[in-house]
Amino acid sequence: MLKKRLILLCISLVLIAGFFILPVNNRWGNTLINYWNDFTKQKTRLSLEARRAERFGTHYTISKAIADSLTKKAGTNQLLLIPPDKYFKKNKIDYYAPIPPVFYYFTGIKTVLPTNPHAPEAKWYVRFENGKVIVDSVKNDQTDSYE
Amino acid sequence: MILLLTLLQFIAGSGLLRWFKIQLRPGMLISLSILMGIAIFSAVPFILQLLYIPVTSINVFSLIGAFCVLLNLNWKRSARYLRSNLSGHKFSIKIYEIPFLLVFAFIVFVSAWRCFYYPPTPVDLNAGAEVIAEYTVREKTMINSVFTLHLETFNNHFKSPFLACLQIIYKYAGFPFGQIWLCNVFICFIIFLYHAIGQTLHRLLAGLLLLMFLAIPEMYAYTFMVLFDYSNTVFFFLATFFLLEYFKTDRRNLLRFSGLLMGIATYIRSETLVLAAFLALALIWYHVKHRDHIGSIILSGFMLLLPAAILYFLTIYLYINFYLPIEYNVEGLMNKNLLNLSPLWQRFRDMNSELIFSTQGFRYYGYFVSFFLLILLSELAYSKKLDQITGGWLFAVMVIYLGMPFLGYLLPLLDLDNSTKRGLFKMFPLMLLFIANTSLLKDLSASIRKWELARL
Repeated sequence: MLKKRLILLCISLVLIAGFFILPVNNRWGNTLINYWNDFTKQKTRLSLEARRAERFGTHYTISKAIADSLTKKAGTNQLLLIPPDKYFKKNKIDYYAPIPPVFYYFTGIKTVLPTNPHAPEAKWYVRFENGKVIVDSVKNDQTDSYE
Repeated sequence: MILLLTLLQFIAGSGLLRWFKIQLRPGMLISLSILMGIAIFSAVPFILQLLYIPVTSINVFSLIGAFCVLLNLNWKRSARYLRSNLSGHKFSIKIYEIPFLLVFAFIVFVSAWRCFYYPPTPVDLNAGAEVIAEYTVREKTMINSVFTLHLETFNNHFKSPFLACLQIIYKYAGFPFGQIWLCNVFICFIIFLYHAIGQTLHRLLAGLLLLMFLAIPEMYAYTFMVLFDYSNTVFFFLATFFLLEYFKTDRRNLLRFSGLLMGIATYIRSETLVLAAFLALALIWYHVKHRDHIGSIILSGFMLLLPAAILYFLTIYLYINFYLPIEYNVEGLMNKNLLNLSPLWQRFRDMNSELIFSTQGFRYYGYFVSFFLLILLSELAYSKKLDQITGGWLFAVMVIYLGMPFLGYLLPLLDLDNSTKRGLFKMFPLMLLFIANTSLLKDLSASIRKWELARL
């Protein structure tokens, strides 16, 4: 019986190899290997912020920077007007502003989109100038910027 | 901590299984117990919120403890139940299973690591369940400052509390990104499937089929990206599994349990209620075939659908209308012109041409649909007709295949590229069990077994 089970073992190896030769499965297998390679690098990089930054990219890091800037000047309890994505795209900034609930999740800052009827309630807004994203008050009496 | 939570899930889940007198092989019983435990966990913060009790860590873990105790109040009987199900079965791994098991272990490890390492990713999650969970932990209520945001154009915060509740529990347990519970769902689901397939097929074929199932690229991605669909798929599958077990054995406890599982699937995704109603047609057909009287049919229908209806009422009607501070008109989401069937036909056509039978379809779902069709045609050629069980699984596949476009027509907000694409996940474990129950593969398995056990 052992001999037959060894034959079945060989068959199972052939089946697995054959399975991963098929193009779509092969691509998926390569994805798994890439994930494994990610793991070998990630296992020593365990800080929460680094993991967030790695996963969300500028979506997260620029949002955090905007929030930090606003917090320094006016605290967290402010409503911030965020321009639509096409505004950043037009200015060649690699940033897709998260929708309000996601921005709130990332930063604790409440935001509003220009299309929202509550947009006029925002006392602060984000704009682009000379390669910098600027957090500015609606009265324009305080500005802060970063590249 | 993760082991402790899993143990608590097992204790609560196995207590529930004993209530329903579910008899299973050890691998299936243990994995199903943990899955049921996860479902029980997912109700805990929600129950606290419904009762206006602060959702603190002490209250959450006390209620979890209370569930574990209450479901095993007669601990002697619980112990006897576990002993009777777990003893008498020898745990064995055949040498030819090892390559498949190693591949599965690798697949699971990669998924589990990404689940642990990365923060929750899908926007639908971060804009809904995740942000609610995050602020629940800070503010001790699920009705928290998230609802003071200007959310007029979004609806993720109205979705089922299932994910938010599990996220809350795991955040309280020390996992800042939560979501590691999804690994438990994934691992237990594949263990259950492996044993379910192994009941009818040789383990060599069971390994190969499970590998094919795991290699559905889009579905695999949702084993480490938390959203509603993977868990919904698991519980919808389990509900169908026990419904078909009821057809095999005519034991009412299995039907009641199937109803509970369908309720959990509806709790996770409310529109599952429509699919449950479609599936109930199989139940009606079963009773009609057995010439049962109308009272019996109605009673069975209630057993299958009542838990789903109750959970729909609690999560959609009661919670949204009487607890959440923002108005949401669920009826307004429905198609106003149901007599015009062209959107239904359009969605059905798009689903086939864009999602299933297309180059993109291979990228999403691999070869699984093609393989299923190949086996279906071979089975029809081989055995000429389908028996009650394969017929049942095929009917369940059709419920999803026709039900998903119907849902897209009924609720236009369910788009093709996201909702229908992920909703089709529910079809794949059903296809898997159909394949595993075909005479073709069962006969092939029997031949392999005979050859394996015969003397040289």
